[in-house]
Amino acid sequence: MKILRQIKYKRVFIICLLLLFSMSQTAAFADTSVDTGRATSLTIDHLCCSRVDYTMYKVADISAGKKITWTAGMNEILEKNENPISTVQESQEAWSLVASTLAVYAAEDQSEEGQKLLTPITGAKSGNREVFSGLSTGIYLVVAGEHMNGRERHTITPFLITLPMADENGQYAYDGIVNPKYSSSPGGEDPGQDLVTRSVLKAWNDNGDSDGTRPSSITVQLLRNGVPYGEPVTLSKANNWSYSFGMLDSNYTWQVTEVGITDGYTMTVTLRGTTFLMTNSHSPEDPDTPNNPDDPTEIDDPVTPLGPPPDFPPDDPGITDIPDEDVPLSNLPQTGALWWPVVPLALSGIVLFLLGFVKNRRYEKTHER
Amino acid sequence: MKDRAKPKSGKILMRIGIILLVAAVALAGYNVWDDNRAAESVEWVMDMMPDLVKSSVSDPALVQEQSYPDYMVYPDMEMPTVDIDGNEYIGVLSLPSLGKDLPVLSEWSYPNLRVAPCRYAGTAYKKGFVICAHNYTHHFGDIKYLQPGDSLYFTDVDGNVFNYEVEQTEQLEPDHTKYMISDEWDLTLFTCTIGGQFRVAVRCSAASDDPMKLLQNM
Repeated sequence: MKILRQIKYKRVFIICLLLLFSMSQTAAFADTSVDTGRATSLTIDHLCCSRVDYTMYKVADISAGKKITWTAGMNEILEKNENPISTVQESQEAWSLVASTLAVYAAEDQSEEGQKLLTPITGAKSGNREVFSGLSTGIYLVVAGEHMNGRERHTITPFLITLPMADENGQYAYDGIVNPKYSSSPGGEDPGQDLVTRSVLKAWNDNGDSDGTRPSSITVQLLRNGVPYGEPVTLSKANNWSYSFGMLDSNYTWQVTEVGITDGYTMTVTLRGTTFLMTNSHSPEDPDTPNNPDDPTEIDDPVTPLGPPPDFPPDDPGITDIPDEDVPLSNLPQTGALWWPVVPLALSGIVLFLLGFVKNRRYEKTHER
Repeated sequence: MKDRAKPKSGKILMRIGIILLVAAVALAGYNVWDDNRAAESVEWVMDMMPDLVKSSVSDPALVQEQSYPDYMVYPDMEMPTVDIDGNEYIGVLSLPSLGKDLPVLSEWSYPNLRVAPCRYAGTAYKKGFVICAHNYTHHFGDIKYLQPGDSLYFTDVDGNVFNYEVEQTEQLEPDHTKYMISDEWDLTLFTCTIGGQFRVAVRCSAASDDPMKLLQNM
């Protein structure tokens, strides 16, 4: 009977240990990583005709965790051209610009030894399709020259593509199919000079104009190489605070500036794609919560850069509570699952069980004698 | 008498040991169940997300650039939301290096934190955007593995994509609220450390929005 009880306790003990061990191995991430060891393929379906020759260049690798790094050849080209292009781009248009840049580099590509730094990859034609197979995972630049289709000249825009491709459900397609965009123009015409469009957009960062100081309109001037070009334009709510300047010669540097910056506002300009984003910032005073002049941390002008992060005294009665009710001031929420007691409980249980077990065994041996 | 006391104490110790082990197993089992429940919760929410958000999330390079979305003109505007099962969501946080797409609730609360990551403060349209979540494996349990330079992005319910890059990871005490919501960074993600005593905060800056800078030598 005693032996049976001993066996029962041992079984429970072992089962508990096994369960704990198995649960400790449960940390598993959803398997959405890229299978970098798997071959991919790309089929380019040129809808209009079959007289197009495409060339691919591998320009970047993708890790299993989807981190992008330029290939060694690409890095060498970027260094040679002193153009450290980032692998993080904000928009499709930004990536299009990158593709166009890389296409130029690929065309001029040659190392000091006269070898190509990027290996061109050609595909196998099948009707209007060109198939590239046996490709490793990564990012590829796809380029094609101009070609004539009847009386039309087709110009295919260079583009970048990731292999595998991600579909709308987030699933990976290791055998991708694409239909490249192309522009067409009457055949035989000289494309002429490169023309670009630049747009300007005014943004208002002023708490929804709560103090009514936002002007009803502003005036913006286009600059060509720093010199005013053309007539100033008016931006207002009527034109959604925006305007586009077209047919601009790409050989010049184009900028915009606001004529007479509105009182009480500070302006910053950033370029997003082909749009100049002019942001006017203003921080209206809230009459319900007057500033405390004794509080060294109160900031009136949101454009004023914050100082270095403050030290963390356990108690600082000098810091004024933030008046905005939407900003929680209590301690940061407890966002942890209760894992910390598991190990102490398990270890205590094991130790106590073993102590009791050893006590019983000693007693039995003594008793048997 | 002494001999009769020994086996009792031995049995008592073994029984207490078993009880403690069972408690450890039960607690671990609950945590595992809760973790899996949290994973199913975000998967279900992602399935219910509008197509515009989902298509943007699957490949940010495929986002069609809109003509001046409202947030660009009025960055103070409230973030639009989508109602899924009675909860308001402001968009999806994507962590490519961790292989995750997570819906983000508009407001935080302890019940909401059990469903999905929550906006703690701010807005994606300005600096100081803060998102918090439980340290479930399928929520923010692994954000501590994010490295400086890792890219991530947030897609709002209108399909606007905001790209970020990890700058640094730091550990804060629970009462460092004001510092956590500082607008020194564009985006902050935070969760508890394993012990629950501290908060691990991943600070991110907006990815460069000036492609012309990259082509200055063209």
